[in-house]
Amino acid sequence: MLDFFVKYPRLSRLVDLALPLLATLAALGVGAIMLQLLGANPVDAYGALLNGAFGSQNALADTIVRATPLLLVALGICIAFRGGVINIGGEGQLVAGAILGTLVGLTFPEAPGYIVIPVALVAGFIGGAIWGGIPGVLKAYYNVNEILSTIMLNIIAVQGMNYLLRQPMIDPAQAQLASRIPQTARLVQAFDLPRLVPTRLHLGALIAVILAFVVYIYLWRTTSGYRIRAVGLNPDASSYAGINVKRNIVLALLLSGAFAGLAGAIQVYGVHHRMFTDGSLAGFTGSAGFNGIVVALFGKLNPLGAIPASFIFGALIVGANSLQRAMQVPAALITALNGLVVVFVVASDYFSRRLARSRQIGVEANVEPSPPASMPPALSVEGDMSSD
Amino acid sequence: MSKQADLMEKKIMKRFALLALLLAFALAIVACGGQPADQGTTAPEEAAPTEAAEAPAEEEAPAEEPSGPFRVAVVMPSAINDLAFSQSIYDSLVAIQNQMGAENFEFAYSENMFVVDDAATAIRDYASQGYNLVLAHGSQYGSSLQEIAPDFPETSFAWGMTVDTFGIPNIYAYEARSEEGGYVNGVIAASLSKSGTLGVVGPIETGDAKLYVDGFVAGAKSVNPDIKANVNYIGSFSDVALAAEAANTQVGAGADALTGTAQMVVGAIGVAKDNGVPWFGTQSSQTSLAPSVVVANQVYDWTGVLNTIIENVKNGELGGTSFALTLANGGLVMDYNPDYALPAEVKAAADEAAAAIAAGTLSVFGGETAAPAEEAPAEVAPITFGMILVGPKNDHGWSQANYEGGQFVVDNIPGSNMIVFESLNPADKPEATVEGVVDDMVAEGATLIFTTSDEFEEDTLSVAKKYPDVTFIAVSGDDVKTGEATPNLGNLMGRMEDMKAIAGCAAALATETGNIGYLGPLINFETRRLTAAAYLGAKYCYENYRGEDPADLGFAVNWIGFWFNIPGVTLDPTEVVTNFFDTGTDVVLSGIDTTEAIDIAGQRGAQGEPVRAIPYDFLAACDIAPDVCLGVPFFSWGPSYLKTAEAVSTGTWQPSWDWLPADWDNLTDPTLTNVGWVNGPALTEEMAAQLDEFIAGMASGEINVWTGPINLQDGTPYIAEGATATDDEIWYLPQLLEGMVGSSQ
Amino acid sequence: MISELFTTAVLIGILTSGIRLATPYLFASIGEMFGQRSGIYNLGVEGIMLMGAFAAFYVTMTYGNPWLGLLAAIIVGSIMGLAMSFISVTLQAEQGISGIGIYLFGLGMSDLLFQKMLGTVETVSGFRPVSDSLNRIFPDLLPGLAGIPVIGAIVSILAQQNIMVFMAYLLVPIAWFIMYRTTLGLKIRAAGENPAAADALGVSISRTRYATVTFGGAMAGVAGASLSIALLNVFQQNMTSGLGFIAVALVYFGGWRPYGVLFGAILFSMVNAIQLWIQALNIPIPGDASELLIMMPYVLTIIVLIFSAGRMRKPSALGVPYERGG
Repeated sequence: MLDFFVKYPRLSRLVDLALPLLATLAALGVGAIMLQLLGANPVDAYGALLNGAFGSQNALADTIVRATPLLLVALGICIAFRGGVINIGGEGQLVAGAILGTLVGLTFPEAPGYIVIPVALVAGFIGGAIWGGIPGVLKAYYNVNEILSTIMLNIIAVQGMNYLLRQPMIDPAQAQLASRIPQTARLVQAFDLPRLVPTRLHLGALIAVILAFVVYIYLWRTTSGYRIRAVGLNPDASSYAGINVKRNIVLALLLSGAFAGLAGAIQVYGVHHRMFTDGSLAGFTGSAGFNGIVVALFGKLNPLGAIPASFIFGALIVGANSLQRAMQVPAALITALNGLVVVFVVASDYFSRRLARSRQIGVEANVEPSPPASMPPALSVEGDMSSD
Repeated sequence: MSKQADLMEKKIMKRFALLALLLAFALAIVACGGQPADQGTTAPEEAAPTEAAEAPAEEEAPAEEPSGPFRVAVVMPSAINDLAFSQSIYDSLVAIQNQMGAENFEFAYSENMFVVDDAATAIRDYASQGYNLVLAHGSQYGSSLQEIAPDFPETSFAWGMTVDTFGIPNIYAYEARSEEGGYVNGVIAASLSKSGTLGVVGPIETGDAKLYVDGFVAGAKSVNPDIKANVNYIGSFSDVALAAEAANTQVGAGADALTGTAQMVVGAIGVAKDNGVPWFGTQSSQTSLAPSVVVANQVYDWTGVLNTIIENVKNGELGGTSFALTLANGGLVMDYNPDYALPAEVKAAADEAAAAIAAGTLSVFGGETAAPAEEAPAEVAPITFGMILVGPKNDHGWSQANYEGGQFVVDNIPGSNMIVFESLNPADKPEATVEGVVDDMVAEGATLIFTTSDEFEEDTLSVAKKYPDVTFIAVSGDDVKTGEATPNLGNLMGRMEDMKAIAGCAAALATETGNIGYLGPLINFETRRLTAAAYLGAKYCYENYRGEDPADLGFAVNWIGFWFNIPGVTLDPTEVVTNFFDTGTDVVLSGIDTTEAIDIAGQRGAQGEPVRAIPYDFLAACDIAPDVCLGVPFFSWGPSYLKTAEAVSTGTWQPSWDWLPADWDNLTDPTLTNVGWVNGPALTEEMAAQLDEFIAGMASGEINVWTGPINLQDGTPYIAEGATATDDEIWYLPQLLEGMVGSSQ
Repeated sequence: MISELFTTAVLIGILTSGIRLATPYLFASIGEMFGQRSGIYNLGVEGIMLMGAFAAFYVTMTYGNPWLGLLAAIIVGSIMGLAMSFISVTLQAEQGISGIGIYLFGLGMSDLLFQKMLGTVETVSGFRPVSDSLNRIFPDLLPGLAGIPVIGAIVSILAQQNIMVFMAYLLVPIAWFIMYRTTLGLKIRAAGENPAAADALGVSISRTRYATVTFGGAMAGVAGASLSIALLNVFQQNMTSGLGFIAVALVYFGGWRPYGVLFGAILFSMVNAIQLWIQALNIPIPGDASELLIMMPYVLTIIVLIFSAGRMRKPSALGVPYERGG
């Protein structure tokens, strides 16, 4: 089978690009059996999924709105993983950014929107950067593993959010009621992110796409980005070459957190127009901090690849929920299905790597060196293509 | 190289096959699980979603079809079986569907919508599918609703747990005043506690969790100001293990009664069970998890609020108001575990607290307000009120009881004036109408009018609209409960069902032939449930005190067609009673307003026949024929009428649906209890002792005659084995019960 | 007042709570540690725990025997672990993402099975405190020991626990023994430190990693069972509520050593127990912020690590797929 692709490297690359999609379809195939067992017609069910994700202008807008925070988080993940650090603290960073961003809007209700919105988004960026910078410093200077610290910081963030929203930041209207729902006041309408078309699609989506290009340029066209990647590929060699490894570890996690924080601020100003909590992280974040990791991997840790990946993943989330409603199957099925898709897609990378190797055999290229920690080998191929 | 690769690939394919096998295994588990659920107990619940799923989602236009079923969608943060918040609304929707029928009411739900973005999409989607009413059952959904509702002006939305409608005309708000049941639970917990320490496990200090916890602490302190009520907020709605350990900690810190709120407390209930510590539940009934330690649950019953919203929506009113579940309107139900031996005095204290909260004389966070009786002379101005009676004011029955209630008001608010209009019925005064009578009364200055028959219910509603400044009380009505009521219309009814059960018990204790007759008026919800209560009381005592098989008990109902004899229109009650006694029945209970049963029994008793009777409504009814009178269940409207009149006079009256319980400690005192029972001279000493035992059992809650299994007359199971009927199930009893002879419709 | 914390009764209470709370972490973390020592980190622990918890609960409920339930949790956990091995070892997939996939699958699947097979929250009679069986077999033992000072107190703390708590603590020295005193342990460590060299010496890297990750899955399943049939005797959707992720974090905290993991689990659990006690004793909290207390174990874990993590070194090949001759 591989011999075939050796002869047709271009076809091989096409199959490579389609692999995540094929894997998703395979996972949905397994899902079809489960649907059948639950008494729902899989054809109708997936019809409802497609319809819910793409069926109308509104559905499409919903999909893109859901994809926006995924894309932003994924951009940060690209930077972190390229820098050789694993950031699973996106949830907490997103919340930190949302809180700081909301504070700006609550503090200056009289100021004009064209000033407050950018300031608030920058505040969100900074909030996430702080929450991502902490594990960076802990890892670089105190050898505290970032998986541990980001998990802990997620929980610290949720408790902090709960406290802030039920005490100092609570909506003054709610503060007077017995039930005291933990949410802030609605931000003044002048601060709503502008809508792009007459749907709920807001400017945040455009910002995210533009930033994808910015991150791409940053990683592959700037010295700073090069250093982060160098540290990620081989910290010892980088250190030898005079790169400050510790500083770049901090920078990678800080930037990674910053993009998650920006996602949080954009969720507030583009979608909810206030901050609220249900006591957990997922209630506000929609697990974008986790799913963003998956999206980054779907996009092969390439910021541009993350654009379609986030769109597909957003469609999957929106469509699957629509499926749940149409068929009235338990929502748990959707979670399980989500897990299957992730497993299948990440597993499909195996074939992607084999294809890549076959291409190299085809062009008689040198064998790739062993890939760095926690990064699929195939990814370094992409990286090499665009590196200077 | 390629050979090696092929080999490798084969190996991998083999492992893929293995993985596929494992998946198949996992799926097989699902399949096995799927079947029992389909046949099992969840069947009625399953019915709901399939209904909704079958409904064509896309084709149906958003426009309302008046002939089609009413469609409700609900979005909730946790699972429909969480034994807490989400289950409470799901159960209520199922109950409404059972009431209205699947052809008239269908609903769809999205559970586990803890991600607010998902919930928002769901809400929008349901709205665009043309659902008439979309419930956002979670306080975190507020911001989404605020964005979505204006886009669907034809759809009604409701936001749970708040009073804030954002001023948007198609949003309703609803909340549960969970502090009320929390207070009652606190009273019981403090009374049971010997250590003087109580433990509470909560999620986050907000919303109805905070209200409940604060209410619980307040209730406990009202019993024992020095009691320690320690609260653990664990910072999560899902961490079952931490909730359990918090409960362990509380027990370690000396707590000997525990409570908690939200879905993660299932862990804490297990700890209560292991330590044998009483547990108090809230939101849904948690008795099933630990029948040995759960004492009482505050159950959220949303059916009343939802019915009101549904009625409003049908009438084109899509939102703008907020509703609260309270003890007063029956939305909060104190559900006692029948298997927990709660001391009678504790139960009485709890009932008293619940009644005081419901009556508005006790504010949970404000302490006890000054007793109205003391306040009355100072603030209450004399009042002119109307009293419309269906029969004559001296009928020794229903109308006289109401009349005397009015008299009680006049006696207690000096200078007040009662305008009485008696015998408003087509037979006696065919030309008179409720509207005409009310016109006259208002002209004479009445600011409060009691219409004292369910016959007047519809007319009362229409005149209430005509005179918005006059307060109307439709006695025995349910307008407030169903939501039809205007803001100046309230409902009062005594909980006569309990007294009828006592009457039934007395009859069963006395019958020699084993045949009891019931002289019924006309057939409606009220008369069905009263008759059924009498039957259940009779059945209980026949089995438990007489030691007979309840299946041998004959219980026949004969409906005459109205509340009293109208010659030529109704059956003649004299003939009906005579017929009962001629055909082997030796005890007759009266359900009508007049006294024929006791009259005839008195005559035949005087001739030496061993017959007995139980009259109705009026305290002194036994005086007619003491020798054959087993006792009388009576209404005492005085206390509640006085309270209403005072509230109207001072401008503090609020519409409510009050189903007033008995004051069990003062069952024979008409100045204190709303409904009562007095023993008649015909009871032997032994019977009286047994009857007292039965009454004590009912007072403490140990005996609940409405405990399943109870089947309807046609054999349909109504109350499951071990369950007890809710207020709604009693109030809206659709048929007589299995074992009763007589027509149901 | 804060001094209320330092009474004997409260200290015993904190100890008892801490011992109990640490139990699921020990199972899951020790299992995860084996996987990580051999080079594979599995973020799916939480999902496997949920599946194990459900399997144990359902089987115990159906057959009335908690040992069968425990067996079911081991089997289900192993299957999930095997799946993780296949994805991360054979298919060499990125481990963090694979783990997230396993987590989501377990989260959804356990909930789905729960809804279809049980339908409502129920309780089960799982493992009882050991005092129950001790009192049955040696009726005089516990009352006799209770009289002795100190020992009596210790015995009473221990007797309140169930058998799975003891198993969890017993696992630690066993894990240490396997890791440092057996050939198997050597192979595992070699696979995680220098797989190429180990491979050259004839150690099958993939077989070793399959074994450790599958074992880790089984232990995660047992951790779930320790909740559903020993400590809580109840199953609910998402009942682990992030516990599995903490278990993964504790492996890092413990520096990939069994006793380090034990220390981390106990520290974390004791601090959690202390915060519960502070609330239960009504000790005033600044600003009425119970959240500050709830954060305590998480903040403290990080702080302790700042002062101790300098010496730790993670397995060199952790997270790196191994390919022969690559």
